[in-house]
Amino acid sequence: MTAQDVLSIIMGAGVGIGIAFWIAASILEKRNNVGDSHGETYLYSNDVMVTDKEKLQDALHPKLKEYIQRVEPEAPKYPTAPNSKEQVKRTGQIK
Amino acid sequence: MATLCKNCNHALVFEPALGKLYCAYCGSQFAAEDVESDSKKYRENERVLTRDEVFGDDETYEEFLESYVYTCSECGGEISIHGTEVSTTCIYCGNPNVVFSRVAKEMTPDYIIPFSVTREQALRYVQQMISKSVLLPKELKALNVNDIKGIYLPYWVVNANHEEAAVVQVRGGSAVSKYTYHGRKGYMTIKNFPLDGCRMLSDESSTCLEPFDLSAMRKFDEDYLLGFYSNSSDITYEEMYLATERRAKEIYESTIKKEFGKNAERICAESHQTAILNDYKYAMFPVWFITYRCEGKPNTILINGQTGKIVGAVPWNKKAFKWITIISGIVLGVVLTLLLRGIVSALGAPETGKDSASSITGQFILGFGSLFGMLFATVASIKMAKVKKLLQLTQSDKMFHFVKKRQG
Repeated sequence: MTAQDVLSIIMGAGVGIGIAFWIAASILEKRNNVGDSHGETYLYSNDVMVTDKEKLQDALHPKLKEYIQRVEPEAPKYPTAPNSKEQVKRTGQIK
Repeated sequence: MATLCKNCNHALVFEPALGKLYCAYCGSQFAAEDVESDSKKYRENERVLTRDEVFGDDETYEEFLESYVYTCSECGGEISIHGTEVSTTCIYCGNPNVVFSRVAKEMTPDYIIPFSVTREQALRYVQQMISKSVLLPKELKALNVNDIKGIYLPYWVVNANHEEAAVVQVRGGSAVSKYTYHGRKGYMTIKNFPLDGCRMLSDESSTCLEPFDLSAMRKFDEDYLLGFYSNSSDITYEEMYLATERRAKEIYESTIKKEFGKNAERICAESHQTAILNDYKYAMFPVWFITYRCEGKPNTILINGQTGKIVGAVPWNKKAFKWITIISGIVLGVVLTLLLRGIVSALGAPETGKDSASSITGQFILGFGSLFGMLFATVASIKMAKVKKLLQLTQSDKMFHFVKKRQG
């Protein structure tokens, strides 16, 4: 057996097992892909309004940090609850 | 605690196929909104138990499922309610019971989506899913799935404002850098976003049940719970906020990435603020839970009780999967070897002494073939990881006990 034969056998076996694995995994995935999708974006959100677009130089540019600087919220994060560990109540019952 | 038929005084149950309360004894049907019951008035002045009162301050409360014992109004038998359960079935007479103190005014849901998928339909969907699966374990082939419970899960329907500044890394730059970076600032409002209010059920499982058609929500009436189990909400404000924030971020970032199509690699930096508005609503949504054991492991399949969407994976015979993959791989390998051998010898390997250009081409083909095989194996591994993750959710002990601890 020549080196050429050995290389071909190794190659062939590798590709063959790779393809067989891919076929088997695809079949399993197809049979079990129920329940994968979540609610679509359009069901929950109004259109995303983009207020600013900018092309930045690179990932390490200082301007990138400026760009994503946090905006102070106008409203508190938790709706009227003084204690975030408190159990959620119906809004009609919050005093 | 059972709502009785005004014609024959037997307990009524909600029948999904009819969308009404149904008396199995005399066949009478009533719309839930039309049925008045003295029991409902009891809840008006009842104080609901807080989470700490139900579970205590101990963080390990999940391990200690305390029961509260009530009396069935039909037969006087003991009804055992665990944790935050609100309705159940009497194990002695089989009649449905709603614990009205648990739906006291403070925690009465605003809305409910009644079951529209019947028990028989749900079981049929699961049997069909199992019968279509490949490489089933022997145990599952003979299994007759019939352990099913309809449970109303608590959901919070929230509106929220989300503001975010994000930087998208996009493929396809210049010779200097293969990426470009694009900043996008913006805001959006999320409306009618359903959040699971039950801590025992994982967020991943509950989000897979979506979407629910919220236009079918009706004003809450306890009578819809008859014949089904249900839980009240036990999540905190922090949990509600974190779940909303996570989903809002997902929606915003996936929307801005769409502008760049498949070239959008990832969000490499971002800053955001999410604020839940004060008009969130409390609702109950229907889910069928089907449980069975396979190879000693618990399995729970969820079915959206409104749309029939199934969430869950079916176990497979791992030994058979391994051997079939290896044997078919070897057979395919033999065929490819013969093919490649012909190509390689025509183009020449180093030993044949042919010119160097042909030998390089031969080596290139061998190298490319190896990459090809590795690529298939990599894609297959990603698919298998996805299926295994879904199977892990399906075989969650926590979810199994969430269903099985209920009586009836």
